[in-house]
Amino acid sequence: MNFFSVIRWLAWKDLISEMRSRETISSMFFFALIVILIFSFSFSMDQQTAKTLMPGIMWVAFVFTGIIGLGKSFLAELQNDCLENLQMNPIPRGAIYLGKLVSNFLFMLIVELILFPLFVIFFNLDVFDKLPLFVLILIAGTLGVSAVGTLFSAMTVQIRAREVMLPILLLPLIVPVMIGAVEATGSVLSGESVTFYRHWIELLVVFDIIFTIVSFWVFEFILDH
Amino acid sequence: MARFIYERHPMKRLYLRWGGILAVGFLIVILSAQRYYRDVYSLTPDLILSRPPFGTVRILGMVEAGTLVKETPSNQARFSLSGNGQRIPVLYQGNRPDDLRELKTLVVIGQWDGSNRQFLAHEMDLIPNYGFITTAYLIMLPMGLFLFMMEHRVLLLYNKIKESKIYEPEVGSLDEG
Amino acid sequence: MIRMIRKYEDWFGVAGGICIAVGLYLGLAASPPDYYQGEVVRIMYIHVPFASTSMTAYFVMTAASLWYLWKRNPIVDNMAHATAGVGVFFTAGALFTGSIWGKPTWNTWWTWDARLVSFTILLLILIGYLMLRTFIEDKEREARYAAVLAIVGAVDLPIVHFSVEWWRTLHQPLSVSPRGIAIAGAMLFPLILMSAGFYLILTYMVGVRTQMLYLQQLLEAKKGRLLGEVHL
Repeated sequence: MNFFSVIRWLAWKDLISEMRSRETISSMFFFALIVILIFSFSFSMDQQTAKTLMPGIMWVAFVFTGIIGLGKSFLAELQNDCLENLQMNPIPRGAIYLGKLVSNFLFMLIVELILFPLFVIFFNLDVFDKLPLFVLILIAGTLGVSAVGTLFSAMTVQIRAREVMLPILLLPLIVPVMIGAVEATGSVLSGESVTFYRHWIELLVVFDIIFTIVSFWVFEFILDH
Repeated sequence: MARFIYERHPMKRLYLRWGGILAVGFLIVILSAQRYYRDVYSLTPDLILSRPPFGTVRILGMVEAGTLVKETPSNQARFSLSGNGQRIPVLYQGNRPDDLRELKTLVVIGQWDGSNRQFLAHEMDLIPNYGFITTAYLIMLPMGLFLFMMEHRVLLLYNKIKESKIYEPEVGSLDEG
Repeated sequence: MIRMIRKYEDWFGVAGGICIAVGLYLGLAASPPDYYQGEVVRIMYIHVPFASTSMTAYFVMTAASLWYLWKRNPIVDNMAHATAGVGVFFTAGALFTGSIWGKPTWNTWWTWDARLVSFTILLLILIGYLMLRTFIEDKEREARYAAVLAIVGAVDLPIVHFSVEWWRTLHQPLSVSPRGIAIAGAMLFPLILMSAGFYLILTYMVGVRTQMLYLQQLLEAKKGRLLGEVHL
């Protein structure tokens, strides 16, 4: 198999099995819903505070659900000994990484797109004229989280205490994504002109590029030979 | 000779070395405590009134509101310094700092003039924050402890490896170093 | 390599000890107080060496990790592991002394300054690194995973620093920057001496700890425990 067909095949396989079981996406979705509800209760917000707090709450919910999805991503492979088959096959390691990255990214993005209307309703947001920008920020932030996350998900799946180690390793590293995404989302919501927050989107894009390349390169050392 | 001691009593050598470090540390603490009492330790106004001191002393107190008079020669000022419920008049002659103002806590250095019942100060200082400095430098203690534990463990491991008899050649090769 | 460490490490320890002792005397007793900060500036002589050595420790750890992935030399992995352990201590020391210095000068123990945040993230990565290593049984895999984490963290830290710096300049002016201190000559010399002493002590500590980790593995191998898996 060549490089790109491995990517396509892996991502397609994940999507098909997800379509059949709907395990990952539904658990991610309900977890995110609960996170949002708990945040809303614990802050008891009015309209104005909701607007300032909402980007942070949204991204915390997204990242937490992302961690749930990422934790499951390689677990399924481990349970059916598929991981060993993947390791044994002479397929390029980078292709495995990219295939998993695509499926993780799509899962997270699907959940975020389902949740987004709920945010609009819960927090009375007024975003419909800026929807493309919003989606761009969503894509850039999600790619950053899943680029680092896929690497650590593969790393933690084969060790003890994997549920604890994934967030412990992942969360400090994605601080720039959180800052950039929250700031950009907040600026879009408050209706600032694009020039004020362009650098945040650029930061996200730079982070995505750097970490996709670095993770792609070091993924070779994650799987056993 | 040193090599002999090292071979026979590695633990003793470790304890001797750390005993030496501890002694030097203790000496530094004593010297700095001495310096503290000589240069930094300050009295309060009530102590001055109850037991008038001789020689140059340092007094820590607050400049009372409404008492500060900056006199015409630009290097002179009068104010009263309060602390612990007592106040003493101070005549200050010397380089007057720009930020000398009322309600400021500071340290004045000078002599107590018992006949005029006033303090003749010739120097002024900020409040020394030695507590912060001492706390910051206290981190040397855990650092030393950390290092000691590591060295101790290394020696223990060397001894254990010598005792274990399974792979003789490796034991020999380690000892050559 | 381990023989070389054992032969030369003592010299580093002794030289570092002397440098620190003289530096302490010069910094605490002989050097003048700062014009603006007064006596508190003496914390600088311990804070700056802590901060610079902890960054160097991370740099060394990354270099050792890269070297390990390239050559697969287990002693280099021991060295990276040792540097992480020592680095946690130095980073925590830098944060601790910085916090104590911040109270009298900025009147706050903590501020969300770019350097403080980067150092906290650095500390978290180092702790995560050490935790990760304890959770893996296979020594060879442990070494590989740890090296990967070190490299990814090294790429991440500059980005964290820049993003927090941008973030701060947006929210409040950077009024509390310790960069404003103009260092006079009489203060520079003890600072250089203390830094040199800390670098020497760092080298010494890493040497001792590398030996410790190496010997632990050797002992485990000797006992026959996990003989097939031990990575020597």
